[in-house]
Amino acid sequence: MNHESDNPYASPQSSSVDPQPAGEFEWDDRCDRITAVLRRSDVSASLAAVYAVLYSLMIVVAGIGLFQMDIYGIVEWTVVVITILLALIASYLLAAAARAIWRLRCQPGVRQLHRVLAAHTRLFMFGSVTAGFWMCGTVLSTVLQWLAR
Amino acid sequence: MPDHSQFKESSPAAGEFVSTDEFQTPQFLRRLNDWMRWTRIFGWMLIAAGGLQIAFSILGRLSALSQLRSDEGWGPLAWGMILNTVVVFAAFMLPGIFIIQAGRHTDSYLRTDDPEALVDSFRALHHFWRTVGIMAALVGVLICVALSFVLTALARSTP
Repeated sequence: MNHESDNPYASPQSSSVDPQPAGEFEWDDRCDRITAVLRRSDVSASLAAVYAVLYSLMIVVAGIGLFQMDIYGIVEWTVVVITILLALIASYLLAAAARAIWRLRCQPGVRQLHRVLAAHTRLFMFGSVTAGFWMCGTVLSTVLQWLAR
Repeated sequence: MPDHSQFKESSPAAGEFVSTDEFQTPQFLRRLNDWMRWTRIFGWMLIAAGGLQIAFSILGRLSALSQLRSDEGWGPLAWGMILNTVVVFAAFMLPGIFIIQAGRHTDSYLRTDDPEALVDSFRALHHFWRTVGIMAALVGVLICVALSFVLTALARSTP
């Protein structure tokens, strides 16, 4: 079975793979294809990580500005500090996912795919929990504002 | 074809089937199982968060529309609503759709052992990152432009 001709994502490593016993070649070919597909995401993932760092810095700068104006109470400050912490954690997890994808270049294979999957699982877990809290907070504050009218 | 269900919850006991294929080891299958679960949850969360933002934006603008004076046009409000909807859809809901697709392909792989489904899963992950990357670049450029305006204004106002 020849997968080289119909494989648009084949990486340069595909041709240098050692001959495999029958039945295993197909799986190694899939490994190369997955690696080649993921490698194309490295720049995008890095951009997302850079954006998250930029966003965290923006919130920190805005927080310093608000601190100088001295208009916030304890509740508002708690929200600002939690937001900064969440943005920093998101930056770290995004950077970890981007790094795992970048490392596929020098360490292609299933072992590195494990790391990619683990980094993404952590990112998605954090994203899900944060998005859940954000939605609850938004709905709750809107309802409270509406009731206060 | 090996039965993956025996690997999902626990390590294989002595005498159980253990594949030598790296893509079918218990560790990899367990990792895929976790990944599949959280991609689906995260995808739906992104879609829900995007939908909530769009709903609040529409409600806010409808409220502003009702307070418009008769000589004021509703064009800017409508354009703002459309732009906001497009941006939120591209930044939240589209990546959410892609990541749900990735979870579904992984589920298909775990159920059917179809290797092509695993490649499709990572391809969907690539689409997710591409969309997120493009939006991050666009919003990042907008932030830089806004910052440059703010800094310029500050520099002019400083004696």
